[in-house]
Amino acid sequence: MSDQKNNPSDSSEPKAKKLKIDPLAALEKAAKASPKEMAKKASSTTKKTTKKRTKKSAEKVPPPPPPREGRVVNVISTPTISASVPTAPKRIKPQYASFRSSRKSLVNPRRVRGGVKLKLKAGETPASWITQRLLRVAETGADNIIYTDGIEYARLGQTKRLTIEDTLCEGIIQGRSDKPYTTTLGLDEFCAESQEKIIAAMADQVRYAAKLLSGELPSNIEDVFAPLGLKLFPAEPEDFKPVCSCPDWKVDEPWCKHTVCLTALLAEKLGDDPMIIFGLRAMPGQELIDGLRQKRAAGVQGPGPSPVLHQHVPGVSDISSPPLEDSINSFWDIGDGLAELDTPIAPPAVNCVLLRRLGPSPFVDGQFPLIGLMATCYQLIGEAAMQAEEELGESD
Amino acid sequence: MIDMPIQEADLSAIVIHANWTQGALHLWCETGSPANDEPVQIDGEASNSALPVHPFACRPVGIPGEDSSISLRLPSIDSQPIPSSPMSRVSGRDTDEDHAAVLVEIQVPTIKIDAIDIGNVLESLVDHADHDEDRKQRYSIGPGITYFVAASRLSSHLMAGHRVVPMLLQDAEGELTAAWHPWLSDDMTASRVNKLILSMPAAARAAADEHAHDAWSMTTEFLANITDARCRATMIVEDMFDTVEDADPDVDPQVAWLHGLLDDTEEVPSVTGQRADIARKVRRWISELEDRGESSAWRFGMRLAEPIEEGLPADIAKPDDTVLWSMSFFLQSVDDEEIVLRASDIWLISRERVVIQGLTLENPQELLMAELGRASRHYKKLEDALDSAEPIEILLNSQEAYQFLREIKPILEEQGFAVKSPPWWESQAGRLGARLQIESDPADMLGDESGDPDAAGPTLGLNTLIGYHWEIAIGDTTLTLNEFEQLAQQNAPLVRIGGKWVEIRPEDVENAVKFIGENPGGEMELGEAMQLALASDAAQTGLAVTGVEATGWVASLLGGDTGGASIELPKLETPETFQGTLRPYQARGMSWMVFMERFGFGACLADDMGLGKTIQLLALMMYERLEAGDEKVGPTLMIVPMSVIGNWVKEAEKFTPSLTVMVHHGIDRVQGEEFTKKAQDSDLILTTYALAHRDNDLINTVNWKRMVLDEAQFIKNPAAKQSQAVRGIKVSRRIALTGTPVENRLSELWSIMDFLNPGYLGSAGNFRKKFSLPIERHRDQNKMTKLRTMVSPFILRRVKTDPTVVSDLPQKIESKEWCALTPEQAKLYEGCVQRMLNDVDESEGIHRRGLVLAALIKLKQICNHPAQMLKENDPQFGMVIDPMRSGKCVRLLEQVSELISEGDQALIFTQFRQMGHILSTMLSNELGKDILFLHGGTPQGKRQKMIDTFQEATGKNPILLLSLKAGGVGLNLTAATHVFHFDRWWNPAVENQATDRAYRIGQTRTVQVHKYIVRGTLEERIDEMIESKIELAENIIGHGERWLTDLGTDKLRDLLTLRADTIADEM
Repeated sequence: MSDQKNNPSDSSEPKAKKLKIDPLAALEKAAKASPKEMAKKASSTTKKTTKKRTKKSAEKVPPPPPPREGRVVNVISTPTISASVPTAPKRIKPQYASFRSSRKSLVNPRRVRGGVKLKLKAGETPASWITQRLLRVAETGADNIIYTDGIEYARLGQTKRLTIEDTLCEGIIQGRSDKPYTTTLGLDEFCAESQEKIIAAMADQVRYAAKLLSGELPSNIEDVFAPLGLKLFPAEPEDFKPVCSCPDWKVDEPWCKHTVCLTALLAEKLGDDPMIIFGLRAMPGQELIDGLRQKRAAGVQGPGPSPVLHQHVPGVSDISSPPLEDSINSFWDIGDGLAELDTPIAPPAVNCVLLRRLGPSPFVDGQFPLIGLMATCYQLIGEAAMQAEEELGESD
Repeated sequence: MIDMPIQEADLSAIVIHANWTQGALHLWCETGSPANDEPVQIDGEASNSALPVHPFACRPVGIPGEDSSISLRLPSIDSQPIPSSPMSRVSGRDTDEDHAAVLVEIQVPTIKIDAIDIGNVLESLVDHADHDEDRKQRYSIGPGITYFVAASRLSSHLMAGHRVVPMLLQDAEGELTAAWHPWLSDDMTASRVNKLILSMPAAARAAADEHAHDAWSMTTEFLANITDARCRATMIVEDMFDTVEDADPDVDPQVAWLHGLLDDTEEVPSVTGQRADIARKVRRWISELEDRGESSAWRFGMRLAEPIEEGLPADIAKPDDTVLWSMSFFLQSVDDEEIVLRASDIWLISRERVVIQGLTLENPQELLMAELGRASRHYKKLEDALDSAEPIEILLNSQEAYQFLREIKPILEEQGFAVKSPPWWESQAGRLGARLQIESDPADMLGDESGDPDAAGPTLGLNTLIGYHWEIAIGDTTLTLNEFEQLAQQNAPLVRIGGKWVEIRPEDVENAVKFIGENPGGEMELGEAMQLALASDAAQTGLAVTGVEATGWVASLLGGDTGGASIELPKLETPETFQGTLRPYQARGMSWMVFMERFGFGACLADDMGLGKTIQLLALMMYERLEAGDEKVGPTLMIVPMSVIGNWVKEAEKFTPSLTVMVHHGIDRVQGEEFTKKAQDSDLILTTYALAHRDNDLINTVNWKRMVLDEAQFIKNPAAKQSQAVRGIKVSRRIALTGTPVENRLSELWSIMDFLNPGYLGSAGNFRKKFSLPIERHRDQNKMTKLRTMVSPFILRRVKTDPTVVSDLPQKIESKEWCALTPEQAKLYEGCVQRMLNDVDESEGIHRRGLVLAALIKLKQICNHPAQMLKENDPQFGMVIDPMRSGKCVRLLEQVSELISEGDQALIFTQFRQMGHILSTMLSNELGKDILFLHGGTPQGKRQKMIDTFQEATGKNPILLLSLKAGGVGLNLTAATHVFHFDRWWNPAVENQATDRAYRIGQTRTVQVHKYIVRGTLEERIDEMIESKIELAENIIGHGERWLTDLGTDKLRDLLTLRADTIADEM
């Protein structure tokens, strides 16, 4: 998982230890337990949690418990260094402006050195739809000013420590008071029964399997979850369970600066490595991929011929399109870029420039004058394109 | 050519969509009504049979392809797909509820197009839709078509530029195939691909398939498919397969690969054991293209420097082989190209690491050597340097330097190396070409025209013969014959002339010799000379025409390169007899027209709406009458759209009351000799485009001084009868007025230019091939620039934001738009007045008042649009009302489309919510834009959202319709620069409050206010009363329409009766 690579400071930790929850074991367990039992268990757990929270809220909420002994904690204490964030497509406009500029944030916390910082700059739209969506959730949930301040906290690097431990995301965030606050974000876990259904649904469809196997999250991944009444990524404020030890936090108003700050950092993290979400849902990604790989090898037919070299175009080939659902309000709109796209039909300044860059034939023993013949082909192809354009003009 | 893609019997609106799925492009039609009474039966794939079928989709007819069906995920409400937004616009449907839609997978019947046909099919569909001038189109183009057309054009662009690669593919079983793929990852192409893919409409990636709605995945498969199909077809046509037929693929894997590229099957014959090796070799070979040193923050570079001068520079120095050019090496920061580390320094400094301006460079010596090695793969000469332990530079002779600049430099640059060449390289100034010298007499526009100006017309113009000769020049330096001969003898590609190095391509010298031999100079027509000088193609002339130099009046015409506005002409003053003062830019406009006419050129005044084109033209007429003194000046024929006749009459009355104005339209217009005589005696004859065609013979009986086209875009379709009739009218002085940016609408531009200066832009067909297609299809900047240069001397266009204009403009310009009634409106209006007058005679008191009030409202509605009074539009049906039935609507559409084309936004006020609905659907249908409509019933939240959308000014929602008393709400609508009062409150205070929405704090631009008034109706009468302020005191007006109801029957009759001459016979 790319947690590892994004986290140089953590590299000493052996990789094998990283995933504590063994999904296969979980699946086995699930298989043993009857579905009914599982469902009961799941629902009772949820109830319990809710009750506990409500009770807690009556008085001061203590910070969430420290990580238990034996559990593996993935500590992300330094900001990740990565290539610049590609700018997102212009046309994807979040329903709410991601960063309101109407008010300059006046936060003045105790500064932290080497904290985890938000890479996204003010006014920039996140490249990943996942980051966009999670920011939108925080923006919907939090009061306007609190949201702006929380984002500023994230940008200033007020987060001393960010950990994603099994299904919990925890941040140690420094505010104005002496001691930092402990902030957590929780998500509903998928019960074993749901997990099984999800894997089955994904394995059936080539498109999910193919993308997941290449380490990418299919953009319409939510389609698998929706029919099961589930969401993979939070879409509403209620889908998160933000808790914070700061005095502003209330059960019915759980969005404080710190929870917003943590959400923003998590949003960016998930944008960089969407597979983390499976862990947060108690469904670790690697196991999911392994499961899929096995299923696919067994039954599903492979895709057609694939080129020996896949081309890259930074900004598009490495980024999935946003889910179709997110474009429902602009479903028929063409992006602005198309009006600026120029495609002059003209002979090249240098003939066969690609061929010249490629140099001699890769088959050194070959007798056939490949490059010479290719040069002729290029000439013919170029002339044919010019000719076709001429004819197109005459036919009307 | 493709027939209409729908069945003849089907008359409802159609939108054609395109999707790429199942490895092919699929076209399908969306209809406005259920495609069939019976649910469509889709054959084929049983796996999809469980899906519902799109009830409004049908298969296109008349398009070559195979019947098929696909499944799409489309926005739906209650499992019913909602109409696409193009369909909603055509049908005037309310899209308010569409945000509640969810995606539902649905089956659609399609036609599957063969990859080789895709380009032609898509282009034909687009052409069909484009050339549907009268908007009677039976189908429109969905966003998917637009997208795939752009993608297909990108493929053509890449093929023409040799940017395809032979690719090898391998399937799961290891079988090999080959295909031609477009190469996308080079910088220039990548930026195009980026634009394309990020613009992909969701609708075009709605297909439910293995691409998982991913734009990159779908688009690259599309591009690969059509590119391969086209390249392969070429190979087959050229019988390229014959070249490998005799070779054995088993012996030579290259032959096997070529089998898959040159034949009509993709298979690469190979034995299992070889495949992995072949695939690996091809992968490594092609990946060379991606090996552009991008992982490093530093790139390797070469700087080519001219030989150091020894002794004094000769005029033309012959470079011998002893002259050596140095090519030195350096490393350059990728992020900051200013940071450069020379190789000579690299060998002196630390081995491990250097820090320059905060940037760290690890192992610089190692990097230099590695990159030099990489570069030498593309340029063998660099291997010389590798012999040295510490390479710093290599030396080249002139021939080698030239070869490097011409052939190697672009390749190295594409591979990610930096190449610094001497500054003269590739600059226009260093290129051999021909310059045109034109001699003409000094411009003396103030001097009197000799003889009778009306009799013979101007003697100059584009047909004038002018003296010319050609000179050979290098950049701006003209060469003498002697110098040129010396050059020609040298036969060297890089020579030094007058101390400067220039590139002399041997073929250029040859062409120049030939060119001068064939073009000794002499006389030719000015138009021809201008075409040669401004728009010639080196491919046709054999030699680049690098410039034109003119003396005298031709120099004034050619002016600068920014068009007519830059011409320095003596500025004439406002003619004394003109009742008003011209703003400075208006005086310049009038002076320019005087100059253009004096020298016999047709001129197009294309100022932005609101800058006063009418006034400038009227001033020109006064000017020439002052100049002529006692002599009678011939009449001007003014052809205008019906909708603006009233405006011209009113403006002439106001500014030039001394002109005799004759309006030629209506059923009882004068005919025969009476017309000829009357017209000959008048100054200004107004008629319509329709009559210019119908009464063409009659019009040609008059000896016109000039002809003016107002709203000249009316002749945009060169083939239309009206356009032909107008062009056929015998008159030598021609002026066109238009407010739309004509340079951007090419068929319109040709039509107007051909009217003004016949033949200058060549035939319509040639023009289309030479300019329209490359510019419109491919946004060919080069062609666009040439065309602009050619037409700019004849077009004077000032926009409101021009610094020279802005300072002259007031903050607010109010104007009245005088509209006409259509015959239908007039009939309804008269009927209504008659009924009311009959009724009021028999009633009294409150009852009478009620009758009058009801009738007044009806009359206002009739003036707006008959459909409003007749209550034809039920928003539920979303019917689009024909704008041609109302004079106001016609005028509104004209003005609104003009302002949108200028990038402006507008507020439109109406008192009636119902009229708002009519206008909203009408405008969105005509303009193809979503219209914001704010009325009393709009909830507060939505109201704010609309206002925010409008204020964002993205160009997507340029119109905000309002039907409420805007004074009551705190709206700030400064994104608008135009305010329309479609109907009047008859209360200046209310109107001003509305206007102030746009004209208030925060507004930095001039606001134009347009008040719509129908001539001859009560609207005109009440406007007169408001203006005079005598009959109507403020406090009376303040009470709205109450006062009207108290008028006596005679007064009412007087007020309301229609004046006869004001009805349009047609729009």
